[in-house]
Amino acid sequence: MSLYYEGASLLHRLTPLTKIVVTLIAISHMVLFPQLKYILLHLMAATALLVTARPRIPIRVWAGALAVVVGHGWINAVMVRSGALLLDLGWLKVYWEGLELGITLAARVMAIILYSILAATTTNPRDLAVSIAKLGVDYRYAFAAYVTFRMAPLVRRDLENILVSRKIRRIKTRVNPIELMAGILAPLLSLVVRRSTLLSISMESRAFGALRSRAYYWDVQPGAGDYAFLAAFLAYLIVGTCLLTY
Amino acid sequence: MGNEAVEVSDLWFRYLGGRSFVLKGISFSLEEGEWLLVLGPTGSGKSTLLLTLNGIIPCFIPGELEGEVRVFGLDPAKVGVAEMARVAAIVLQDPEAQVIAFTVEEEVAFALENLLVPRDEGLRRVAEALRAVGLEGLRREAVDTLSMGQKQRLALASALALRPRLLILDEPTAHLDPASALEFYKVLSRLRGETTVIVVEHRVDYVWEFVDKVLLIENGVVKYFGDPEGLFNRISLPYLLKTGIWIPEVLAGELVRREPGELGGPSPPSSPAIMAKQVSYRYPGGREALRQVSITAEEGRVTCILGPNGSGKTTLLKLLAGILKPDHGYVLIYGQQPRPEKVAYVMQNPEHMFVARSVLEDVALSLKSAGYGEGEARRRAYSLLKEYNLEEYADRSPFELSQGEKRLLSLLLMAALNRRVILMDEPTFGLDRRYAGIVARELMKLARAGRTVVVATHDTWLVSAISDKVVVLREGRAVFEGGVVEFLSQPKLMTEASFSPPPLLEALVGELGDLEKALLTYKRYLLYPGGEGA
Repeated sequence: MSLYYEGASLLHRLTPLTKIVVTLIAISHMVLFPQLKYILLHLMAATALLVTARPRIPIRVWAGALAVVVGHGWINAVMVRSGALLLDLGWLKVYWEGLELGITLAARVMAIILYSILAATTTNPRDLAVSIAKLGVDYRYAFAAYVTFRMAPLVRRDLENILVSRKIRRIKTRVNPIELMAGILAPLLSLVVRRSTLLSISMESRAFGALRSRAYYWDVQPGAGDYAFLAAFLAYLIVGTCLLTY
Repeated sequence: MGNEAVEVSDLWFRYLGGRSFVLKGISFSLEEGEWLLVLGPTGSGKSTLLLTLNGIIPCFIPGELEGEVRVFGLDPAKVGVAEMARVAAIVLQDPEAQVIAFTVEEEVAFALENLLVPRDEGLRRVAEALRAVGLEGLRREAVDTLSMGQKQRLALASALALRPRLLILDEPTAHLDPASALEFYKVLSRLRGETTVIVVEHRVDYVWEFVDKVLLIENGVVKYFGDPEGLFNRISLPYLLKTGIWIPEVLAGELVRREPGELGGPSPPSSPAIMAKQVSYRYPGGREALRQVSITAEEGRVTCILGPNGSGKTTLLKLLAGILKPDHGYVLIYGQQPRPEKVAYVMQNPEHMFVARSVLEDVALSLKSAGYGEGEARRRAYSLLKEYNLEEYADRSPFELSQGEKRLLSLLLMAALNRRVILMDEPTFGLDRRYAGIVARELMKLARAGRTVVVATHDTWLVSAISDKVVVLREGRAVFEGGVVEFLSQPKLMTEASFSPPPLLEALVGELGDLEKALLTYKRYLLYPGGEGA
């Protein structure tokens, strides 16, 4: 689903490639330095970027992220069965080591989610497609992701309208999977297939795929700002890692 | 002129799995620069024919295709859709479904980028095309924030930017307000003599003066091909009306009975069934769609909501239905907060309303919601389908119907709910004259039976034929609320509403010298063209 919204923040001005590279560097750094203190570096960086970009993130996205983080941390915490006992409810034992592991892993997942949200909310899917095409990927494949992003809000609206229509007609949305399939998913699927076909027709009837390459009127080229941001991020990680290590 | 642009010979087509051929031996040819208007009732094969002209059939939509199609010497079936874009551009019926890009200018530029048109020239063409359709001010807007009408203009701009030799238009003005539709054809008329245009259009009055040829298809068979004037020499007007096609109103004048007669007027004004007071609404993170709108709608009457594209008509209907909640102000339906379960609301896209595997089951579901038992619901569903001329589709999936049939079915689904308030968003767009007449008469019938009917529409004939009351929205504000005669007496107000009175009504006013008499005569012609009683 596309979370992108228009804006002029620092992150909006960066090319998609820069944001992908930064996210990959961050993940690699967290793998190499898995301790909580290093992961806090990323949480601080992501939070600072979040404040700068001020993305409009729907509450359901936050709720989903929180559920993943807490669930992941909790499961890992209770899986540890040795060390100093922190909590004993008989059927459930939590150890200090488990809690530490749970918090560390939850923090890592949170950092990755934050970086991903920042990239998704500030990257125009079209720019992403152009960037991928610029890397030498056939533009027809690069635009496949773009079209998926394009379809997402339309499909969501279709679903909302189907649900409203059912409400107007007082047709109960039961949890019985077969009824649900017949009543909601079948018409939604039919609409999605129709939309996909029409979109493909619309693209091809506008010469998509007629030539081996295409022009890009709004080119996406990394500029000085991208290189400066990348350098600053790397410097932040190196200095932070050194200070925390030595 | 002089070069052959399009040649279709003995064209037959049957959809994959289809029971019968949709096109049955279609033949016609056009010279470069000629304009062709394709006429025919709903389901006659008009859109199918258009889709064969740039290869969408059979490249995307498979089926059994026989015969020959040549567009500037190319065979679309062999050349493929993408290659055909060099010579032919198409605008499909559903503008929303064909949007590709996120912003307006990216959308128009998409085809030009694909054809490697140099950037400077491409951006110049984008600007020209947007200016031509009146969207130049929205160049950097996100496409999702546009109204349906604006999206349709955008689709047109995308086609125009290609500067095609053949422009294929499938109901290009269906979502446009009347003034914009007129303006569109004025803009398009600049292409006369240069660009070959093939258009399917229900609002024939707007395009009639520009076309060189007319192709009338009925049940997949060519009934007439030739110049527009010849159509009425070869085929009688009563027969044309019977087939259900739209014909230019001014030419149909001879069929109009001048004595107004009686049509059964609305009941005396009662207290408002619907009341919206100082209602404002802003879409989350978006524009303010309505600002302090106050309106009422009375029981037993048809209230039409008019206004230019993007003026807030659909938003107002959704607030009246309780689908959206106002930011400020309030809405009362029979003195209570509006709730979707209490109203019947016909959406703009009928496909959102289908839930069952067959047409019959879908109607029966509505009847069951209205309190009928299983067996009775199915029996009544079948008789309702007969009433709406849809009985032959009873066992088919609702999604298999034509656009016009889908709209008719969506009205039937809501009428079967038997609610006191019926709200409808563009109930007649895409319908042929026969189906549109059925819908209009049904709405009148529902109102006269004591229902409160509120309709948002761009169809000028529908407003003139069925409305008892008119509400005009402009830029999210209600600028008029009053009787239809009062509305039609104010040219300035009609301009504000982007409304142009139907040509026949204007002619009748000139002839009869009285708007009320002319209106009654006009209603009789539209609702009962065969002369049957009200």
